[in-house]
Parts: sequence; C-alpha cells; structure tokens
Amino acid sequence: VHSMPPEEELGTLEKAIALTSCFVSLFLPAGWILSHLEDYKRPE
Amino acid sequence: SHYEEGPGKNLPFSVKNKWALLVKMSLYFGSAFATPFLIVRHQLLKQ
Repeated sequence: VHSMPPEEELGTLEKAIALTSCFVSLFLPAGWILSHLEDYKRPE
Repeated sequence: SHYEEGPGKNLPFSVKNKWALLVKMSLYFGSAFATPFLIVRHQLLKQ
C-alpha cells in the first residue's frame, strides 16, 4: 500500500471557501436557534 | 473482480466534483449537527 501526490493542488481561495463552508454549515443553524431561544418560550 | 479500484472508486458517492462534494458534505454533517437544536426548538414551541 502506498500513497500518491494529490491529483490537484488546492489554492488558498479554494481552501478558504471550503473551511468557511464547514464552519457556516455547522454553526449558522445552531447559532440561529440559540440566539432565538427566548422567542420560542411561551409566557406562562 | 469487476469493481473499479483506486481512490474514490469504493464510495457510495462521487468525489469527482469537489464543489458538489462540498455541498453534499455540508448538508450531511450540517443537518446532523443542527438536529438536536431543531429538537429543542420544537419542544420549546410545543409548550
């Protein structure tokens, strides 16, 4: 078993887009809900 | 064996287009991470 060099080297912009997408897809929905928690609570 | 071999050939999804892969992985992992938060929202709205 041996590895090979990447078929295609990623540029800085592509890495930035990929990493940003990872953080946005994880934290945007959660952050939206957490920031609106009070709105979801009904007054007694 | 009649199956193709090599990187990306033994997966149930395509890794050929990296942008399509980014969308697929974002939806897959993003939906899993968001589910418990959506459940909390659902429970709070139910009261």
